Amino acid sequence: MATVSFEGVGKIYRDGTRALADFDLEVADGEFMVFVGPSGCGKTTALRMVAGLEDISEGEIKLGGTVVNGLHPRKRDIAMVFQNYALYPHMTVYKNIAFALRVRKTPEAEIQERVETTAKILGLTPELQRKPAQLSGGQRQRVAMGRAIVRNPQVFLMDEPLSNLDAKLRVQMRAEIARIQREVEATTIYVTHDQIEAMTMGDRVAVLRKGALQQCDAPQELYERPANLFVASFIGSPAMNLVQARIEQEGDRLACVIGSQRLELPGTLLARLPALRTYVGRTVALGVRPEHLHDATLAGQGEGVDVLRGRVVTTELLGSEVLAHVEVDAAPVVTEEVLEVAGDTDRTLAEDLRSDATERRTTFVCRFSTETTIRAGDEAQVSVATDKLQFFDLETETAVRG
Amino acid sequence: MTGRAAGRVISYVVLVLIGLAGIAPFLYLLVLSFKSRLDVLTVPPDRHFDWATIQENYRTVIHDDHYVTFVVNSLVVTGVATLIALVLGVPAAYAFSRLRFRGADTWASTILSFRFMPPIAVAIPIYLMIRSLGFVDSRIGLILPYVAFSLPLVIWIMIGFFDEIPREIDESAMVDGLTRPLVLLRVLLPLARPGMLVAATFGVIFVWNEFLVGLYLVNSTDKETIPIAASSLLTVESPIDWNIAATVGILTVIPILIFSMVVQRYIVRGITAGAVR
Amino acid sequence: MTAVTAHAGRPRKKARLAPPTQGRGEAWLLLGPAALYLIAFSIYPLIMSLVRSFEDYNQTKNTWRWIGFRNYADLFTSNEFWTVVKNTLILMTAGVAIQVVLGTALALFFNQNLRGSAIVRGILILPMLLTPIVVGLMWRALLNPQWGLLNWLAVKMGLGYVGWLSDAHVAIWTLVLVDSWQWTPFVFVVVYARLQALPQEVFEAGSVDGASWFQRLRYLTLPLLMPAIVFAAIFRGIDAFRTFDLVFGLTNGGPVQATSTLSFEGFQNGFEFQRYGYASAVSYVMVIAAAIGITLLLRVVRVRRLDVVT
Repeated sequence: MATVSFEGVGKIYRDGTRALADFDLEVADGEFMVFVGPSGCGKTTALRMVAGLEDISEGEIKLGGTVVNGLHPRKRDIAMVFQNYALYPHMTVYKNIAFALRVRKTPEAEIQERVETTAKILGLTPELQRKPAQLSGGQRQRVAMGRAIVRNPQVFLMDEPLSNLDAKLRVQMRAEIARIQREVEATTIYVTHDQIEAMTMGDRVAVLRKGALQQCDAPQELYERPANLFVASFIGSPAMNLVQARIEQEGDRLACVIGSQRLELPGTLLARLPALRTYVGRTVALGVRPEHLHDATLAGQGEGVDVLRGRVVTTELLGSEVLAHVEVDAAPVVTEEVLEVAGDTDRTLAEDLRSDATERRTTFVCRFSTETTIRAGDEAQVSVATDKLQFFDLETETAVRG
Repeated sequence: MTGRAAGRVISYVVLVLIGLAGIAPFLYLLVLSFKSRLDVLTVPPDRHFDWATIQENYRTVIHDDHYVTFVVNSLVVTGVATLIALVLGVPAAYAFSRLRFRGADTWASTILSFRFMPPIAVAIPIYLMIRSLGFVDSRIGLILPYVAFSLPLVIWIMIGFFDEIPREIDESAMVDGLTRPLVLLRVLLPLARPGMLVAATFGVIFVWNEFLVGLYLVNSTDKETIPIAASSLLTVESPIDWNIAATVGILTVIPILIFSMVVQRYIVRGITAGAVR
Repeated sequence: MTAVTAHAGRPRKKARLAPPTQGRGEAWLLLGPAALYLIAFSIYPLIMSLVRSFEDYNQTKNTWRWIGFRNYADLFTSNEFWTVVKNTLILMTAGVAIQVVLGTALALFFNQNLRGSAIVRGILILPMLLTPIVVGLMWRALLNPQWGLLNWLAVKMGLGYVGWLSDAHVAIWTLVLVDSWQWTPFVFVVVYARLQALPQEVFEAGSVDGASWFQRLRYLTLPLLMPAIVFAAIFRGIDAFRTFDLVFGLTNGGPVQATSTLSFEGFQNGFEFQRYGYASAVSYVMVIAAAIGITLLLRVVRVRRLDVVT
């Protein structure tokens, strides 16, 4: 096993498009690192550069401390799982898994033993003599995994390995890949565009956008302390609510004005974010996660909680909770990055956001308990966990910290 | 990376050599067609060209040797034969692709075998047949057997293309009230157009080049097609003026050259239809 | 020109009752004209050929006489016939082998997608489209004993004078050479198309799995190309079996019978010597050989369904 380090890595394709810029990252030995981001963010390019399938235009990539720029893929001792699996269609499952060992002239007895062990781990033993075309999607995925783990390579690379599976199988394989990775303790780089996959699988998650690293942190850290507006809106489902708010001084305390309403900011928040004081009189982006918004008629009051009123647009009953969409008369945050994330999931969403901006209204998504009696059309009282609020500078789009 | 650069240079040298190997015989023939009868004997050909000689060679072939007549004959015979083959072959291919009927398999493989049969196996009886029908020395006499030769080709190419069109399209058209023949005419023919172009391309190339049967079916100059005329002019035994022979060769090649440039993608598609699908 | 499609391998549905969407007469309406035409101009002549092969034609009286198996007996006891069989087999084996190897190599070479290679690919299509007469003419010029370019080159390179078309031992190989010039591109086009259709990731996976260039070629590229290579070889083999035009254009079967093929033998006897009966017997030997070959071929093609690429 080995570390992988990116030092100032950049990629410019022959047609002049830049896929990655100034990428610095250190993947620790045995770590499960996830690269996540919308399509075209450079995550797959970064992965393929580690594999040696793309030239490295700038900087250096090191495997286990050795620079591998210019080294042929076969000499890098890495294994890769491809998005469409890239199984050898003319070989049986056994031969597919054995191929890498065979080209290295491993003794036949050892090949057999290792292939059989691998097949057992993956539950592929009955399938060993079949060809890829005879397998189900899930089985093919397993063969692709088997081909990688039989090698015992320094590094595993996985390029959206689950994107061709149906939803149920994806959840199942997600857990399985995570389990196998822990068992073999292999350094792994896993590329996905699915932030749920990223959050559930990675030891750390690197968020990329337009060829630039936005933030690399443990999933919880990423969720609780996103470094900028892009990460804030990209990570989490439903996404973080973002609204424009003005910071005002109120005695020795601060408050933020959201449209015609005002939220008291508690001392605990100020202790955490003293820099917020420098924003007095300015407009910032205020972010609040749906789970920090409760039905005020059910929630308690007190320090660190304040109330916001709005009209309920619609409610979605999810069984364990109710997602209430509450409209508030304040301008939403419409930066290029937020629009990009919205547009990535749903084009109309981005357009709605734009029209909301001109009409100065923002819809908050709130996770209410199922005990709520709120219906669409009601005026709702939403209690806000104000000590959990997050703030972003509207110009630099970075989080207000320290 | 000088190693890689050197590799690229070598690759390009090889590429040029391949291109030369392909085109050199054409160029050589072209050069010969620009020479006088005596200059042909100079090896290697020098760079001396003379406009009057070139004109003389081409005028001889085009005027004295009825080149235009041959081209017209070739165009008529090829056009009509290919058209008939399409008209007969396309509905048949559609039937093979869509309908279930007794003996379908037998018929299909019989037709495929015709594609593989040595033409000589039918050439003699066909010659005798045409002779007894009194069509010797006529365009019809050429068209009749040529249709028979290109029909299996058309049918087999078209079956492949019809198979690629989902049956649901037929079914929805029939639900909309069309009968089978109308479905073919109004819905599938437009969809199968690329296939028909491929089939037509191959039919045209085959008929345009054919001379084995034609050579003996036609013996008067004004009914000869280009390859028939060329083959009677250029047989191995006959003593020939090489500059004139080369000019005939070039003038025979030019139409097919132009045609192939226009339809190149259909040619590649036709050749690979079976291999890649 | 050969056009090629192998639907021979497509799975045929078992004939079941016609569905209600199929009227009774429709099959005949669609199929009838083509069927009748083929019966008149292919099947009937084929049967006539068989009949004529048992007869003797009297040219002066224009009459036919039944002579049983005499034509066949003459055929199988003549040295000429066996020379011609040998020549045909050389074209089918050596010629096709050269074309398959070169064509596959060309496909691999062009797979580098060098800039400008599209033009050369276009050039390579041309030989296939040419009237065989012109192919013969071109090469007779190149190979001309007095002023041909190839002999000039051969002498320059110290190989000495070669009797390309006049030396009975060389001429058949000259035929193989010219046939390969014309038809290697066919193999190339077929194999190249398949190569381009193969998923790139499989080869990337091979690299990552540690396979060298040669190992990828040996274990991945060639096995994946094999269906196309087999296909091209079979088609070339069949066409080589029927070779006629090139012989007509290049050597007229000579010197003596050194380059004659079965088709040419049939042609010469029939059309040049008016020995229609004997020629029919030659062509019927071909028909039977072809029928056996085709039956075997259909079996092979049926088995060799291209692997579904995952």
